[in-house]
Amino acid sequence: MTGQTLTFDLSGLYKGVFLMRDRETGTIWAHLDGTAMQGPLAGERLRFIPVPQMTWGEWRSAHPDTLVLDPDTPFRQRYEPPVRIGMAGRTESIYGDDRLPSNALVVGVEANGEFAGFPMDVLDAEDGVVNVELGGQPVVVLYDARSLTGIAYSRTVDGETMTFVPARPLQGPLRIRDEQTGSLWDINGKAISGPLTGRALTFVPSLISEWYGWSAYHPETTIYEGTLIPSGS
Amino acid sequence: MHSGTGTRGQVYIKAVSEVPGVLPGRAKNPRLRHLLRGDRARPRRKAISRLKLLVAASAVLSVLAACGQGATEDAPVGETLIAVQSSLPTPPSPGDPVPPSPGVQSPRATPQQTPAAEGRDATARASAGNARRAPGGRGGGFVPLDNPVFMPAIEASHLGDDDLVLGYEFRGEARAYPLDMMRFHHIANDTVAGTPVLITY
Repeated sequence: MTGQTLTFDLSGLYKGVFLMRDRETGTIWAHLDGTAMQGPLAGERLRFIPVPQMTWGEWRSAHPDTLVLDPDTPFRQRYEPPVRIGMAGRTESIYGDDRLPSNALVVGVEANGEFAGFPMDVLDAEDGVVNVELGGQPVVVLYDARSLTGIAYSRTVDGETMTFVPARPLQGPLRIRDEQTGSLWDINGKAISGPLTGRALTFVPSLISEWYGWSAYHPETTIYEGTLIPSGS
Repeated sequence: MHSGTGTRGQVYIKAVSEVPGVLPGRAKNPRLRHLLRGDRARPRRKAISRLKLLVAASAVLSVLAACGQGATEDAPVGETLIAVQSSLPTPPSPGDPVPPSPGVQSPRATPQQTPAAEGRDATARASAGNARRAPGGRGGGFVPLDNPVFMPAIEASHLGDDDLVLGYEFRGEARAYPLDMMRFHHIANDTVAGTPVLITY
């Protein structure tokens, strides 16, 4: 961005979602979407990288050589099992809008400046695979309830628009198949069999969020309910 | 894809500006003013010696609910930006199955009072700057993880297959960030395949 490496600290809350402050410039950044809100770098934006939530078993089997954080830090005794997100603190939030319950979990997706929230229960009802067009870009949104993974990818491969269908083996992790070549893909966006084996789908900025944060930071967001429903309709 | 960061950033800032009284600089709370001044006097922990592309973060955010919700209850009307430390949620009542948010950790559990070094290994790790306190104690007890130390998967006998992690792979290097750790740190300032990355939860 500026050629500078920044190092981040936590620095307060905005609309119920925390802010970060970099030590090098003092700029305040939004955790939710990496926007520099105030300070010398205001207006800049951090680039999203794909960091899906996943079970350890699944991540390890997809990446046998993975490293994992060593828990032996000075804070080890303060680590606790994660709260089941979407369940904790169910008090009504004053942030965001009321199109969904404030703690409803969505996969928030951004493409070409357009935002859409995909409720997890809706994704689950569609077997975890939804093909849409967002911001003029063909996007597939994936959700694996088994591993609690939610992520979006571009459906464009080699200039062709793919359509994906669920291909989950019984008891197995989420797999999708593209109708164009019949290749099988995993939730990391990698083709694991078929003509496109070894290819990777392009990550589309996406994350799991509770509704209040997503809708507070992106009030213009649409909601997917079989189709994308605009705000205000 | 016209992904000009400036464009979207400006759009976002505009949206923020339309909400009166919420921009950090307008905060009446002296604590917030202090927070936003920049505290430049604090010595930098490390010099910026290399020019690198700043790659940034994606992640799963929703645990923020835990602190966000708690803060909500105490938020003064009209002042939406809240310093975490000034808005500690009420500890859960007995029998409440929901664990306390990371923001309500007991102050007694500070790193200084953690048995610092039970062996040479632990000393080395601690002094390597593996984790640091939030500057000036801000951040409500959240402590970003700097220069995190990793272990091979085969040594991670403490993790079960169903435990949740954040996973990141870049240029053939794969990293897993267990959620129990990220829920405490919220931020990992890491470098993967030579590229600085920010992992947040």
